[in-house]
Amino acid sequence: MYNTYDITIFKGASRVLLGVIEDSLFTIENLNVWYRQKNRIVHALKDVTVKIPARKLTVIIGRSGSGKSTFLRTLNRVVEMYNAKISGKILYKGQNIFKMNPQVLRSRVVMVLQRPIALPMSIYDNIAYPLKSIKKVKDKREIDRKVEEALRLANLWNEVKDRLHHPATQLSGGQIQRLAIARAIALDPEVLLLDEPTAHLDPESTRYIESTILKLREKVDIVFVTHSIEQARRLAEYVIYFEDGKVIEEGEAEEVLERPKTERLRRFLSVFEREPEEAEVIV
Amino acid sequence: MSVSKSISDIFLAVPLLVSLGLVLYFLVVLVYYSVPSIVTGSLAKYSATLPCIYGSLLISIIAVIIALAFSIALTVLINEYLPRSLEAVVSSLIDVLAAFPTVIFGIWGLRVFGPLFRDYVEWPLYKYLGFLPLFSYPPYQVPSALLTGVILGIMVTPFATSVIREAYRTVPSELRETMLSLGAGKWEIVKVHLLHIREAIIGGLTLSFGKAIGETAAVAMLIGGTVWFCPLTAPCEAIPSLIVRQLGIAFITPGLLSNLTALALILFIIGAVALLGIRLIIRRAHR
Ligand SMILES: Nc1ncnc2c1ncn2[C@@H]1O[C@H](COP(=O)(O)OP(=O)(O)OP(=O)(O)O)[C@@H](O)[C@H]1O
Ligand SMILES: [Mg+2]
Repeated sequence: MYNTYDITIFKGASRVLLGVIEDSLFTIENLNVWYRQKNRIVHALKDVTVKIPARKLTVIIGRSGSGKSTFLRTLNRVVEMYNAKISGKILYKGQNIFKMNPQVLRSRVVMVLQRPIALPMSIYDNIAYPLKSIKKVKDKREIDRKVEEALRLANLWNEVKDRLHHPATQLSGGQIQRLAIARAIALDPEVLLLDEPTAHLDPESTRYIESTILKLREKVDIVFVTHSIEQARRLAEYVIYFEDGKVIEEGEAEEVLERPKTERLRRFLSVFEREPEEAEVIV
Repeated sequence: MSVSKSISDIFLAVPLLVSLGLVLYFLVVLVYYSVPSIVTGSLAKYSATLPCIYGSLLISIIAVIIALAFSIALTVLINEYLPRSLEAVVSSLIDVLAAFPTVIFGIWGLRVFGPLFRDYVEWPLYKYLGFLPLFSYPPYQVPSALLTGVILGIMVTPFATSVIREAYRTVPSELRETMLSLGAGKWEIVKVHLLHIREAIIGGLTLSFGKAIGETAAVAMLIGGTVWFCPLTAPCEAIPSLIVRQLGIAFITPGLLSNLTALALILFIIGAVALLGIRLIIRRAHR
């Protein structure tokens, strides 16, 4: 199940030295994030202390507005563009992310946004341009190969292979979502942060993306946010539950999803247990 | 229902019809007063016709290039590099510049900027690129086509900037977040933003061209008033400045007023054609 890493003596030694840290991808301690707006401040993350384990598919669940997107955005420091104030500590593979060059961090920890957009260029260039300009891939054949591979993994290839050089802004919402996933995959990141990657997709594409995620997790660490408990059950190995900017519960997927310890998570999960009709009446 | 709809359609069409009517009205006036010159062939024989069309196009193209370069640079500077506090200072500077009477640019160009420009730009151009016809004239004098184009460019920069800046500001923040989330640096982010607003950039280009080709006072002061197919480093003449200069003798020279009116008509048509041409380019690019 785990990857086999080629463990050199040095790596072995450092692993022993770093001990616990090696097994966690992100270590977050007392993280607070405030969005500073003109006349008000939003306290979006409150004293979050949590670990995201390495080599495990981590799923973040929680209600709308509970801080899930903010949390992902903080892991790659993109939140800073929103005039945010941050306190606390985040270690990525043992390194303090706030001391890292943000651009280097972001090219290793790539995120797909909740509201994905097409870059104002062709479908092909949406994937090729970041490869060329950010990853400095020069070889045309290599780029072509990566574009195709990424589009196939995102279940978009068949729909766009005949119009790769048309503007990507003409694609549908679900296609743009898959394009954004392909764009991120093509960059070969160490970590993929996916913010509700199947929110705009039909069941078929959703299943396809899920199988891609399962395939990718062999090589890439994946953290993703979902609204769907069903999806969390299908994919998650590790689950973090957010409520009102706080982490309420975290742990192995089975533990958290099947035997929740807190009343708050139980209440959250029970919404999804109800019969559809009943739920409709409530709405 | 359908009646009220057609009524609302009419109300929507009114502003369009009014502005179209106004354009037509001026077109008719120009055509009416230039008919003698056109039908008698006097315009074709008038020696200033072609050189001044050439001169007007030349300085306007230089102005557009300068204005686009400046306005894009200013937009990026303001949005990407300046702290918020300085942003307001630069914006108000740009606004003030837009409100200056154009004769001030004329005086400044002749007395302050022009001599420096001649010594440090035009002379080197002549010296090193003089073998090209465009730079083949030794710039002993201050007035020249190049100087006029550059000052025109500075004059229309505020207008181009306001169009481009507004567009840049309204680019959805998701574009920046997307690029950042892929590990992009400043330069890639700027490039994608500019791509996103390319239509506004073309709009700024149209606006600058329209303003530059119609500008009269500053051009009349800076261009020199020499009617010929001038090199860039030589004095030249353009349609609007020719018209104001020739008015002094137009009333005592048979047919001249009509020729000048015909030139004004040509100016009008060049502006319209440029506008339509650019619209066509946008259409083409969309497909
Ligand atoms: N750019 C921003 N500026 C100011 N406040 C923000 C910004 N983004 C999010 N917020 C606020 O921060 C809080 C957390 O938002 P966040 O987007 O992280 O929630 P979420 O759990 O991702 O919700 P959803 O499931 O709806 O996507 C909310 O109260 C939201 O209004
Ligand atoms: Mg969200």
